[in-house]
Amino acid sequence: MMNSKQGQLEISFNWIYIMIAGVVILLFFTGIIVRQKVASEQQLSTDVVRIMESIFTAAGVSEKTKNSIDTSGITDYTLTFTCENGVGEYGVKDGSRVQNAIEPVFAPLELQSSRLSLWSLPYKLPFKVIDFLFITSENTKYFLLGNDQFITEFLNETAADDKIRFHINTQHLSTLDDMAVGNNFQIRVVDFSAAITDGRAVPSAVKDMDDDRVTAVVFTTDNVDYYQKQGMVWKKLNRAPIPIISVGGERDAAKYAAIFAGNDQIYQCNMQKAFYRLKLLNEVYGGAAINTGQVGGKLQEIISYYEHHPDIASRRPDCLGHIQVYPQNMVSTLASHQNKVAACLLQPSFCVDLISSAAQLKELNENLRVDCITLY
Amino acid sequence: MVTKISRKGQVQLSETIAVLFIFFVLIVFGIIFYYKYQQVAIKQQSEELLAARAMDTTLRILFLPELFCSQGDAEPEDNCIDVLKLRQVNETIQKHLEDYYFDLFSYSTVTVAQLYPVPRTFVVYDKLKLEYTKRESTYFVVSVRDDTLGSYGYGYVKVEVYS
Amino acid sequence: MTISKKAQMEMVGLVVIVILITLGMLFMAQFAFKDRPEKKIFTRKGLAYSTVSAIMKTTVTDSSCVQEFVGDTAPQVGKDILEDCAANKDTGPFGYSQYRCQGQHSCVFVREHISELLNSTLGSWNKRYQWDTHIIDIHGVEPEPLFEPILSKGGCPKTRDRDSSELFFLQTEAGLVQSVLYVCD
Repeated sequence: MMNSKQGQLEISFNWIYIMIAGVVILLFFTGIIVRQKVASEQQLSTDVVRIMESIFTAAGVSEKTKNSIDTSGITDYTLTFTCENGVGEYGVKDGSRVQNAIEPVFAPLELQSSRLSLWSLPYKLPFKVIDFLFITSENTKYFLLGNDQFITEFLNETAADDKIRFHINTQHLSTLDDMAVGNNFQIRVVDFSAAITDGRAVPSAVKDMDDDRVTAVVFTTDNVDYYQKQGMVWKKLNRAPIPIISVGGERDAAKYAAIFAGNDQIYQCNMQKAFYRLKLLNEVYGGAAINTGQVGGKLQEIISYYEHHPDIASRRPDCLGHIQVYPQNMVSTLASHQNKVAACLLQPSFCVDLISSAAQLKELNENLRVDCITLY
Repeated sequence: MVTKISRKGQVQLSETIAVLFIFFVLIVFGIIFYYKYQQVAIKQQSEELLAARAMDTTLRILFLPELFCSQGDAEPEDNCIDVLKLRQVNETIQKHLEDYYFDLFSYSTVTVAQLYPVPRTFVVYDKLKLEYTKRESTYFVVSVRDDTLGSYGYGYVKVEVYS
Repeated sequence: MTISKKAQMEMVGLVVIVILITLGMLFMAQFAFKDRPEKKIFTRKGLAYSTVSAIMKTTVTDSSCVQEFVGDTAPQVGKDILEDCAANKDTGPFGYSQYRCQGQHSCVFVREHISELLNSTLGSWNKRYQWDTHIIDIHGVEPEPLFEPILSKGGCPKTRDRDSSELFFLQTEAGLVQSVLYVCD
């Protein structure tokens, strides 16, 4: 009697069939998982950038707000902030990026942290133009050098707020030799004592740090210079001193912006955004043709009011006087302000002229405040 | 002698094929289900994005330097629109719509309606999207300050965003 | 000869499993395909706050609002008319008040005016709301209503999910006036 080996063959065949089918199914699902992982990472970086955009909008529109964003999910990623030709760009390095030609954002070139601190301040010249948004992280340390009273203001303004986990890492130094870098991702020296100059040796504490992680800003009177470590010495980044265009006073947004901006290019590029917005605001206040001395806008509304109410105008002759009659008046000053903005947008070296016209506008507005309708 | 042929193998093979057939049918169901679910999820996400954009636009309008009620060097008044600027702002915004304000407000229509004392409506920004598929409207109550009268009116901001 | 029904049993088992899985998937599918209701797109709290703020600042330009003994003035709802209502709450609704807008007692007028303003905004947007104004008089007793609450669609009782504008205070000679708006749709 011959034993049939059909069963043995069938079992073996079953196992081979199972192995092949199993491998195909596993490969199929593994492929899906890998593709989903890649898509998910892309989705994460897009989501982060979208959320950042939304938070930047909220923080940026409301002045003097402090915020913090939890970025612990993307600690392994580097966030980059750049600005070129008036267009800012931020996002995840080698990932999703967002362009922004409107809101000035002052931040280091790169950030890698589990938490970002955001702070917005209004920029006034002399009326509010736009909110500046400053972004930094806990692992970016700011060393303040010198005895300027701005240092005290800066330390007070950037004091930690544990409720919202807002924290800017700062330290006031007497000399650069007192510097202790610790475990920070990058450091920025804010120098009010002119200790840092082109070619001078960097402090020994930072000698082992990467060049692009060690930067400095040096304030001299109303100008600022940017420096970066190059080997063992400081290298100046900007050719000419960069003027701080502001009317001064407390919480000078332009000054704070200089501290938080990654370099001179980021600073000047974002300032150009503010100046362009100033040009548009001048048109709202003074009309589209204010640069030629032709009044429109809110100023024309005010003038029309006084012209249609001669009784009020005669009781308060200073009102129309400060607006259009006196030698130094609102119409001519606003026209000058608009012309200077136009020049500034063409050639940044002309922007410093804005300071005088802004100061004049401020003074005229204060004169109007007594008994008249103010411009702002 | 009659040899009995067992059909057990055939039955088992048919069974295996049937099971595999059902298995692949279930996988196809799963894929269709996932596709439908993704469609709905994408639609919901797009609605959420539109709602977020409406909120962003409303926030921008409320804090727009071209509109808010300033108080000299002090902080501007909350939820207040200066009617002297409001009358003029449309000209500036329309002139610079494509090169500037579109980046701020995208496809949307922003109107400020004063209800009291004198009902009137001002169009601040208007960029309609032709053949839009969805429209979301937001309303926000504001004061409307008139410095020439020294008074505050009552009104609202209406923001319509399109996608 | 016994006929084994094992195969049939196995077939039935398979069919049962397939039916169960299909039913399960169909059950889950209905949640995926269901349309969620559209979210309201701005915070009710912010809306409530801005509404109260705007109402309180509104200047009543009605020419009939003449402040007796002082001459023509343009009063504000919050600062002037509400204060007058608090000072003269005991003489309402037909008695004396310093402001006589539309010939009415200030408490009557302010309630009507606030009601109109709310109706023209929140009401026309189909919002459900409730406006309460209370006074804590100088003797420090429990707050008592200055006038009847203004309700829309039944108002916003505590049991409903509602957002409030937070209390708006007005210090007057008659006591502390507090107003609040609830939005709850």
